[in-house]
Amino acid sequence: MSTTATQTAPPTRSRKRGPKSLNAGQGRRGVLLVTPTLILLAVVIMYPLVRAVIMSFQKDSGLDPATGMFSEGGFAGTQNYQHWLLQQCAAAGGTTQPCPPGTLGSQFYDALFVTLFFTVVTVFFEIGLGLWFATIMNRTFKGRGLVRAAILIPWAIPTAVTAKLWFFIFAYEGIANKLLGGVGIKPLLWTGDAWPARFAVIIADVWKTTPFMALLILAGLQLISSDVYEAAQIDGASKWQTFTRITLPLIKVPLMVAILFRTLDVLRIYDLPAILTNGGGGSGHATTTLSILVINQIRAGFNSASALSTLVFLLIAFVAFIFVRFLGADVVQRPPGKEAAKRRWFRRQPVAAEGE
Amino acid sequence: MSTVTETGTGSTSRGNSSVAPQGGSRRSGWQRHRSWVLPVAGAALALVFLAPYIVMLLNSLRPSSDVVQTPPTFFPREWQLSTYSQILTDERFLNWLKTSVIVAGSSTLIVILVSIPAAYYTARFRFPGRMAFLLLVLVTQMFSPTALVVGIYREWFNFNMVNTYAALILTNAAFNLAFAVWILHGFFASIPKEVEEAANLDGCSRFGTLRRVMLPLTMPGIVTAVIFTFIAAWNEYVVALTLMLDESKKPLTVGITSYVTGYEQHWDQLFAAAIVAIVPVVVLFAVIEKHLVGGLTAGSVK
Repeated sequence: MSTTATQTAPPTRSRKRGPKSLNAGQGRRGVLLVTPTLILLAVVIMYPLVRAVIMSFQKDSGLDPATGMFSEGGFAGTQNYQHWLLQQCAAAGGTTQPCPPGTLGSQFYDALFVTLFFTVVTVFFEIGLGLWFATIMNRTFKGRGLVRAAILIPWAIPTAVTAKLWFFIFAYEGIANKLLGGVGIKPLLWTGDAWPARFAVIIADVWKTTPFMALLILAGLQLISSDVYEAAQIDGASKWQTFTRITLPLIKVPLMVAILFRTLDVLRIYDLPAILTNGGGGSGHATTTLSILVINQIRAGFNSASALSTLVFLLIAFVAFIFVRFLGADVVQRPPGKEAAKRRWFRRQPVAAEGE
Repeated sequence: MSTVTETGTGSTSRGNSSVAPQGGSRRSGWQRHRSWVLPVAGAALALVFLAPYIVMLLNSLRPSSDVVQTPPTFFPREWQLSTYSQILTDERFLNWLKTSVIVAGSSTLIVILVSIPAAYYTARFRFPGRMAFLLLVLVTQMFSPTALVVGIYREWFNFNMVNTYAALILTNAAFNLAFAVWILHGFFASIPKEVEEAANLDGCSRFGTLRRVMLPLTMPGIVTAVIFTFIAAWNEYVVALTLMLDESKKPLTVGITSYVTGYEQHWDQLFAAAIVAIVPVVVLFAVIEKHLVGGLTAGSVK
């Protein structure tokens, strides 16, 4: 595709003719072209979002545990949020009590911790390993295409399948423990004990998604011209200096995009811990992430589940905001893909035209 | 970041090392080795990442008793191909497969039908709210079904569409729409307007231009969007888990986890089913791999 674009003479977008001539009379009909997208997004994404927020402020209708009478629900104020944030569970007589251990409500802060822990650790390892693999894949060598395709296959494989596979690997008499035994480490109860279970999830996740991270970083590395490195070499820069002063700043935007995507992904991680360790391990909920808690709560009450999912949503939105605001606004203005290309291209037009 | 092999050994062994500037001799030493070091390192890396899946493949070829036997062996003690025929005649499995094919296929079709017009229009015309539209699309990409699953379940429940293919198809389509619109938007925008105007002058209608000129030119983008969507829909788990309560309507991702539960342990069937489940995505992925990397890099390299 791109070849066609480059081979053709650059379009002369003169102001007079420009978009207007094509726009005339197209405006109204054109809106029809965008409408299906808007409808689909409104029905499947916007409506559930708004709906969940509304539900989160409502009481569950059903049998009131205190009185045994059917209650209609109705407006609950911030009760559902207090349930999670302040750990207040309903008690007899319409009062509240601190959530007893073992209830879903009491797991909120544990789940928050586990989710954040997974996020920080997996993203940290994925950046490190992703950078390393990307630099390898960025070199030209025989069979590079094959290696690149092979390394990315795990990314395309369903997480559910991966999780079952790792469940097998982490079985007590499984491969992981056999390998540990080979270097003289006692077998671990990978899916049973709290910390091994958490690390089992982390290992599986890093294994599965590092290739994707490497792919996104590779996209950035390929932008860097070799001239820059030659110049650095002539100036006597060490390998490390070259990496920190040239490579990292130059791949900042794609790296930030990759980190943002992965962070948002891990913040809502569900299938891997749910299938690999059943959300369990140790105390019974050592790998319960916020998303697992939401799904478990659905069966126990929609409205408090809505409150929880709204909290998760706010957390994700907040993290996304932090990324965009402080770490590089470019993430939104130049998403991965072609928008960047388009802008750069159009900006270059006048120069190209003058040159001719 | 770089290599261990770029040590001085290469330069000292070479006769001209004392004369040549250090940089040059280092490079020549590296040059001699890089022809085999890099491919070997690359292959080793690929092997490490694929190892678990090789285990999966080998385990699908041995009886269940051998899978769990300790100590685990790398190669099957006993080869068994019958698991595959067993799987492929198992009605449960065929139902899951059917659901996955229907859902992933239909979602992809909807995404393409909906995203092409939208991407084309936003790439070609400036209209009020264009930027807002694109940003809205981008923002929806940050949402995931997992965070919205309560609202989604409630919505389909209200429409009485829990346990229907349509609900799962529409959900998958919506969540993959953003990526498709963005990537196609870029492809359409990169085609010079003159191409279209030429077609117009030659008497092509606007629709004809789109069909005969624009779509063929954007084919790589469309293929990428198609396969990306298909893979994402094929792999989707959480929404399917909550929406498809009917055993026969579960997709593969949800279904195959029931081969190994607390009650039954059909490891051989699980692994064989997993292999069958990943074949389509791996094949499709191999097709777009180049485009995917290209799609992410193309614009900026230019």
